[in-house]
Amino acid sequence: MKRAWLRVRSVWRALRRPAQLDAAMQEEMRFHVDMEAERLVREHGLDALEASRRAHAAFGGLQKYRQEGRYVWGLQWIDRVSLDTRLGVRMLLKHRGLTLVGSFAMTAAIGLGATFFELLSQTRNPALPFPDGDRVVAVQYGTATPGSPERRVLRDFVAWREEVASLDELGAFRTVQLNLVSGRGLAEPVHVAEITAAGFTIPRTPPLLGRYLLPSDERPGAAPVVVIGYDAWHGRFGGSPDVVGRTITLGGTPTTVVGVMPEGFKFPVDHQFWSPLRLDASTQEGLEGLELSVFGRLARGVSMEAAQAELNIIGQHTAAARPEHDGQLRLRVFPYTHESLGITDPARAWALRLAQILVGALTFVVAVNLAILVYARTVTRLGEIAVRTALGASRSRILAQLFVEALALSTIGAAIGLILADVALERLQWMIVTNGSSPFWIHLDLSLGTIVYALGLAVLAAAVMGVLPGIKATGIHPTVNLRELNGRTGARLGPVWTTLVVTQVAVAVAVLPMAVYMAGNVVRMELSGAGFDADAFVIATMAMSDEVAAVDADRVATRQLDLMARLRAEPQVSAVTFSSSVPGIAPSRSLQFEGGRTMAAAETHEVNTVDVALDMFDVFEAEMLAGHTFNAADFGAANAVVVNRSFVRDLLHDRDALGIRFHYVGRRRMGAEAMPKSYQIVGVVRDFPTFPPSPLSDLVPTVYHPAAPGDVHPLVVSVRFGGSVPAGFVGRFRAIGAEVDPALQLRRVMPLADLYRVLRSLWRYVAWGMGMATMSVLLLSSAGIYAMMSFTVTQRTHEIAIRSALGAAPHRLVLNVFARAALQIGLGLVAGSLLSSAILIGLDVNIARLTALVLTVAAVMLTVGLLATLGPARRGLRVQPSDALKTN
Amino acid sequence: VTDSAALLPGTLDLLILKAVSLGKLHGYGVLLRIQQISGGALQIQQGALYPALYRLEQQGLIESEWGTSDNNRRAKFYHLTSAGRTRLGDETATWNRLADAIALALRTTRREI
Repeated sequence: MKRAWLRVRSVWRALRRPAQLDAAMQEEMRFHVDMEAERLVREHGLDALEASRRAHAAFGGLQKYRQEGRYVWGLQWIDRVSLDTRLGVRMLLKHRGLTLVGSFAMTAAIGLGATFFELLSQTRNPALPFPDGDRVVAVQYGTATPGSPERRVLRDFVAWREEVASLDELGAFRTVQLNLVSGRGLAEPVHVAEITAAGFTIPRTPPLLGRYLLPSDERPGAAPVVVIGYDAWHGRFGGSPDVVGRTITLGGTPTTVVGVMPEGFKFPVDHQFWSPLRLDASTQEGLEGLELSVFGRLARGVSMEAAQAELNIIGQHTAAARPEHDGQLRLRVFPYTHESLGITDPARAWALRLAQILVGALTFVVAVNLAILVYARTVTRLGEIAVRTALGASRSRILAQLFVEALALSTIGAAIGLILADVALERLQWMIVTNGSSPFWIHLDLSLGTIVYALGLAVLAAAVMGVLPGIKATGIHPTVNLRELNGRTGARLGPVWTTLVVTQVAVAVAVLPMAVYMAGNVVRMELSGAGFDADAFVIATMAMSDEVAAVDADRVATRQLDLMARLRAEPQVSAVTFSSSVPGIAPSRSLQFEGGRTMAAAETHEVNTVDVALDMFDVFEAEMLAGHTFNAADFGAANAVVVNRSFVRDLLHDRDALGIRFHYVGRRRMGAEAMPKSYQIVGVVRDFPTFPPSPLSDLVPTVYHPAAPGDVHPLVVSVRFGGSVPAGFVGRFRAIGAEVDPALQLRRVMPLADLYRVLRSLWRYVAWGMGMATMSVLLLSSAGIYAMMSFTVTQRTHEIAIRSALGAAPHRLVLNVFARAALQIGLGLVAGSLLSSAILIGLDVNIARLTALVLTVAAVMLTVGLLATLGPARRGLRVQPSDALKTN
Repeated sequence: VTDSAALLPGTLDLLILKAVSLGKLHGYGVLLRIQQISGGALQIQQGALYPALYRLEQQGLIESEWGTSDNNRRAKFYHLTSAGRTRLGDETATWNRLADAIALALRTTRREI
């Protein structure tokens, strides 16, 4: 052990100062030779020059023993690595095409791999950023439906707090949206965590100012209090130190601010306001009541399994007490972070783990592809390898050199890939924050783990790229390899090579149409705009607080009308309308046509459905292409609907839509109806907006239903201006909302154009990622075909030259060379086209478009493939018969 | 023609340890000391001393420090560590046993069989 330690220490010293070590050895050996020379002069009367010569001879070679000294100090591998690195870099510069293709492919693979790895690692991370954060757990009633836990657990929660011994503290929360009116008088909806005091004791984070919530705040009748977060303190209260004790209005109730939490504290999810959860279990029967999320901390020394075992017993008692649930409730405990992100069953956890492995496999696939290319290069160096073997280089030494060469290539890819991943993660985090909220423990930036992962992938890729071809090349007998020096290769690229090239073409053809389709849709999103003046609109989602909406439908309708009337009265506002969702972003349903006029009655179609005000189409200037727009007579029993142009084109194949009837099938609104409700198309409106909702879909068939105020809650209010949106209108919009009703909430008040921009930017990044992956597949395939053809022709140089000398026509020789390439490309095209069609049919792309896409891509790939063979074939023809015969 | 004999494999380390055990020495001094104590009977490739010295230093049997030689030049001096002293004792005992056994074997006559 001690010897091992001494060895490690001396190697470490040597590694830290290899140059000094070298200098010290040189000085010591020089001293020795000088002393010996002096002795020879002194004792044998030699002249200085002769004495020095003899001293050197007696020493036996300074350079040799210094080298041996370096080996003793463990520095020999530095020499080797430095030599191999120099050779590797020289190879990168010499084979620029391979370097470009390889580094691009590795960049794409490692960039995508690192991005997804970081995302999945963050998702799977079970620890909160607190002391003992990995011991914070969620407790949940699982039901027969995975992912749909029973959250109405107030009474049970109160009982668990008394009973459960394996959890130190048990807390619960729910998120409500309430209007906040602070000193400035502007009402803004904020997410408030109604939470028990455990929400502060479990994270063990002391407040920055004042106090946090206490159990006494939870008692019925306690004074309303709120704790605010650091961001809210600065954003809404200007960071004022006397905020504690101030009274604000929260959800219409005067509430006292009792504390401010420090920066970064956002427990339980992404909260900035915390009010006490009133635990009046006596008024809650069984599972009825509030929907709560329950959390706790594992008691000291208790494992997750032990806690689960205890909860199993408690859960059995609960289930026995509720026979109406038929034993379906299962009390479960798992890491808190997993509950928030929905990883609540083993299948999902495994799916994430599998995704992580698959993402890593992507790099492996790229590396295998590159290995094929590198093998072609290695084959051209068989002569060199044979000479080195003959001179005494061991197989491992040659493999190490090939590995370092490949590592130089993969490291370039890893470095650029990591930079791209960092940019992508930063943008992704920005988009998540812009679009809503993300759990406070998720920070999308490159972690050390991901950097290590990417570098590990680079090393693995280098092993695959460098060592595999190397093993195959060095496995060939040296005498066979030596023939390479005469221009004849003894190596053969066997059926595995051919299969891989066919697979490459197939994968490229399979992936390309989808990428072209996506890119086309992104271009359409970029160029076509919304089809109406989105810059002239401001939208907001209007909702009444849950308590009001549940019991007072009249008040909801009245407030909706009031709000719209007030908005219409604003200067420069030209129109106000409403709908159930933002134009272009709507939920989908399945429908079936009735009667024989269309397709088979059993066929179902996915459509988007939107409830709209009668004047919606006029306000968005969406002209009617057939039939009529909605009028008051369309309410009620008429069941009239308007469909868009895509509906007529995709589902009715441009037939006359008017009068056609259909009904919805499947989920939603079906419960009480014995017969599904039948709808009739009374009009066709043009598509708006005119860009697809995502690059993965086309413009979506949409059905518009007429709606009156009060029918839809929450609803999207669209305000149109005569010109551009006046500055400060968003704030004015909120102020009007607060004046109409303190319980009225306005969410995401923003210019419509901004919303569309955010959506587009998200898809732009997705498209870029897809584009990079596709380009790398295309490049690899082209390079693979090129390498294969080049190698094949090199092998056949002799034969081609002889045939040429015997008078074979050049075009026949070229055709002969092309035939093999054409066969492999053809096989790849057929397989790829089939795969591609399957993918595009899955995406609901119409047949004409699908055929055009697949044919175009197949033609492009065929051209690329044949062009790749052109160069090598021409080279073959240029070989002089006499030159070829010389090598015989 | 010389009376000196080539070193047996593995004996250089033992000789270096012995030489250094007699006093602090630089590399060239180790060579002279070995020649002195062996009566000039052993042939040593001079350069081979140094990899052997580094190996022993790595094993913690000797330690080195830079100092000044008799002719006022900077030189690296080696001295024995306690681990080196123990090893020297063990190796010497082993060598003596081996040498005695071989000497005994070589002295044996037909009559003694």
